[in-house]
Amino acid sequence: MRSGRFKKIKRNNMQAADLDITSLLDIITILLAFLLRNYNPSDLEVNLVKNIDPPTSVSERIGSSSVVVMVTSDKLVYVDGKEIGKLDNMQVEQGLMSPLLASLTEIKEKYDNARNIASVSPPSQASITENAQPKEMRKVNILLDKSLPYNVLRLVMHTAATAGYPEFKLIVKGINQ
Amino acid sequence: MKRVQRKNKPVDRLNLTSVLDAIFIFIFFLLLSAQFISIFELESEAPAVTTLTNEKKDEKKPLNLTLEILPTHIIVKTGMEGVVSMTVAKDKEYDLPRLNDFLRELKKNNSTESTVIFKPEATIPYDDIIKIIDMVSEIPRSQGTISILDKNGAPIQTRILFNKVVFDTVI
Repeated sequence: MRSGRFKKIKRNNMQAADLDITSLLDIITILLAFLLRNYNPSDLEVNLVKNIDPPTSVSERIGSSSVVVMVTSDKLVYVDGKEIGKLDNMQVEQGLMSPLLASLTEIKEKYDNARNIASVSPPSQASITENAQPKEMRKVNILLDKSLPYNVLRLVMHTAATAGYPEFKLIVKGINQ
Repeated sequence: MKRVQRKNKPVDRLNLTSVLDAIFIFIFFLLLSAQFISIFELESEAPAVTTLTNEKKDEKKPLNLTLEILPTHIIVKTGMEGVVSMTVAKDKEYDLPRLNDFLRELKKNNSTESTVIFKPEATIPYDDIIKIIDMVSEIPRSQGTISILDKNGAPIQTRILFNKVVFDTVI
């Protein structure tokens, strides 16, 4: 009865709000075009630090997630975005950068321990997913400033190979940058 | 029973101008502060020692393509004896198109080979090394393809030259 009464209430006199969103659509269109142009399906996340300008290359091989070693133009060394020291002040023995070796070894050990624990524990849904797509730990992403000489690259590669990363991925900028 | 009546109130039209202005400035701020660079990778591996099996003894001798990169020129060597096949001069930059032409012919005769050994001098800039890797790895897009034979002996068109780069002095 009561609901029937409410049905009789007419709302025909209400006008729909008229929002002019033309300019908003213009902005969104520009933004969409910009984002699509810069879309990169790579799962490699690199937060570039200051004073690093990677070289350009014609390579179109998409990078993938792994440990990232960065060396800036002023020879500061970073592992996964964390500064570990300046190359000039680092102890270098037999072509190995000690702090870099320690850092890379620690990351690898943590990863290996996590893998071992995952393999011992009963398979949960999470571990199944993880095993299906294991994080690549044989390779290291090397991001160097283009002005650095080869001996810096050699030091990084030698240290990484000794720490158990025999595959090197040299991170470069696309040629159209 | 009274009928509920609503008067024809004029609908207030929202003025979004200032909001749009703010969004527009915000977008500029985001675009300027973000680092939109396309990142790619070049592959290399630490040199590995392998033992030749008896099956491989009768096969063709390995190309053993080696590039000695010096500040003034590049020496291209081939074969186990390290015969100098060509020298690439450097004026302001290395004459990389000439190197690419040479490697294109070399690839035609050694279609199954894909490894190149780099021996750069310690002072060579990293940027130069990447440029050389680019020219050694593939034929520039503008210069088409070459015809080589695949493992089964069938002809294929490819731009890939020697794309497995190994740095000799790493370990």
